[in-house]
Amino acid sequence: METILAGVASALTFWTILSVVAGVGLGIAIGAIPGLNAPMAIAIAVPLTMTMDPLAALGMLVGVMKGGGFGGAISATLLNTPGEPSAVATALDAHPMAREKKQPRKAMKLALYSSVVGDTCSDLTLFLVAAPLAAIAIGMGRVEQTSILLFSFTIIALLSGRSLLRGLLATLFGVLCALVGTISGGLAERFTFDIVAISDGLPLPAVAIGILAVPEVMQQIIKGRSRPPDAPVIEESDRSEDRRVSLSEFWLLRWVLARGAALGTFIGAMPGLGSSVAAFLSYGVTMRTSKTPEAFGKGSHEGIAATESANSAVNGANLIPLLTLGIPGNVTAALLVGAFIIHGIDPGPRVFQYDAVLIYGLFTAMMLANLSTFLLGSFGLQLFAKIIQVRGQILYPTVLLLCVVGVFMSSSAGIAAIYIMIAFAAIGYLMRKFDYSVVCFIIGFVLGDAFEHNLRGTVTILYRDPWGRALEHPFAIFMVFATAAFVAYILIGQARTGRKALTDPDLESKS
Amino acid sequence: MSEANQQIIGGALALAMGLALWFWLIPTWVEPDPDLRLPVSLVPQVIAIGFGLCGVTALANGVLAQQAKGPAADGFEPAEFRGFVAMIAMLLAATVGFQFLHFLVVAPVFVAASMWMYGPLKPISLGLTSVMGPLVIWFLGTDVLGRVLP
Repeated sequence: METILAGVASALTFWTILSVVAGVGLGIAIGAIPGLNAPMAIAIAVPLTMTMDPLAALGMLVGVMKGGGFGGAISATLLNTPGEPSAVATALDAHPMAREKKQPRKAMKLALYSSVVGDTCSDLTLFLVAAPLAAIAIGMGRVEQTSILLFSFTIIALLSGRSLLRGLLATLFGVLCALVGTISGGLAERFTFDIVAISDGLPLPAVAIGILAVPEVMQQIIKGRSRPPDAPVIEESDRSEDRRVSLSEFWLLRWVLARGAALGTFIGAMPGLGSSVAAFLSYGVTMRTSKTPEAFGKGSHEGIAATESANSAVNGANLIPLLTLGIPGNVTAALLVGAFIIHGIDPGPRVFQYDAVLIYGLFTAMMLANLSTFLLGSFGLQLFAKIIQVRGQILYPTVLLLCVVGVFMSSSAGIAAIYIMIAFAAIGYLMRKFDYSVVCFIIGFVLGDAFEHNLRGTVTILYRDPWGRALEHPFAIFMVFATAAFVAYILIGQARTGRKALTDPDLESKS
Repeated sequence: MSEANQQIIGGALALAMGLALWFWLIPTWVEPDPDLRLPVSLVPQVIAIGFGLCGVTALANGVLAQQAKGPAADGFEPAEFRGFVAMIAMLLAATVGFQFLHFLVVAPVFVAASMWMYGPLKPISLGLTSVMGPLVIWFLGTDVLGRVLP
């Protein structure tokens, strides 16, 4: 209890609160810009946090994550162009509500409140389950951890991209890039090509910004000339009830919000399943169980509440596998792992032993971020809505310059870090173009070191009598079989779909 | 480019990567460490095997899909490819520029060039963005965060 109170107290300082609020503001602003999203915002923000106190830095990044989640709903509502992929489902009802019912402000407020409710429920679940699960996970040895990492890599490869093979190749490439530099616990260098700047490994900010942010900005710039010139003007009704969400209206949505939050939390705790899956699943379930399914797609309150509560609930739950097993469930969590490592914190179950005050401080910062999202969103909605009117021609070149400057500032490699960023920007662009998951790459890159450490430990343990020793690790055997079963299940499903696609030419266009 | 061709090219590249790792990169660019119980090249070798296996599977899948006349996939349009090459060249040129010239000389040119790539330029927004943007970033980087810029 003392540790929890110390953690809460450590978060309630001026600088931590300021960092969280600034992070939320930055997240909403970037999330609202079509083409930019929360992971990109975090990648750009990581260099800014490198000299900060660890809690303030992590609080800022968590703020960016939560703000970015809601920011996507702004452009989804006003432009029908979601800033976040997970806001695609939000656009289905929020845009018609803004355009046809002339209630843009009400639609955005409904998205905001639903988002905050989903986020808060998910965070509370994290607080309740993380420490007990970490206590169980802490008893796991190298063999078990290796099996969990293999399971996670495979699941993420299966679910993050179009094909398992491409996902696995992207993961392998990520792990390979993580091996560059001096081996941990030794002096031998690998794949450094006698370049001093990478003898400590490839710098995470350069790789993350290069592979996540720069290709997206490049794509926006390259396609700029073919973009429609101006956003359509949305009229707003003068009636006050069309501009606000009343308590009674919101109370009617309580079960939709609860279901969305529960689905989002469950999906967020699974590695590889992102907020888009949560949003669409919640939308589909809510539509099927609704008394007015015909209202969906035409500005339904239930539709907006279902999607926003679910996609925001993924945020907190994403940290469950991160803090209990050290495994990030998606890109955002992977970047947070990077931030943990940069600040000298080893993410995983032992974080509750060695950095418990910091973790409870982080939990408090997450709640502060929810409050900040609510306040900034409520009072600054009009201002954030103006951001989408800034022309891409001004915005994207400036963001690109910020990426270059951020990478330079964050790394001791200096100019070499910018060259590394450019190399990964080119790789990231090509990976996107040919459907190789950058999510898999980043997770492979961030976990590469831990994978090597655990695999070497496993080989040492199993070296003399592999089968006999393996039987002493039933959980690891179970995980290996679970991985194989899951792969088989998905591949059989894909093969059936593939056969149907070949025999039914319409299926391709339908999908 | 068809999906099958993409798989064949991707598979061939992955196989080539696996072979290059096994026969060239690991023997040449992985230093031994006698103090460690297991060889330093253990995990790189596992990765090389992984690349090889995935490459062969992707190649086989591609060939089979080609025989079954699989669906067409998105690829690079020539205009987009030109834009991609131009952007990378511009980033490289800017980085070289940062090594020899001041940030406030290179950054405005870089921003102006990016704006030109985006679309037709308006003199006022060009002037404001390419000058004010780098100035604000410079001020924030050096004065507020106290960091050195390129």
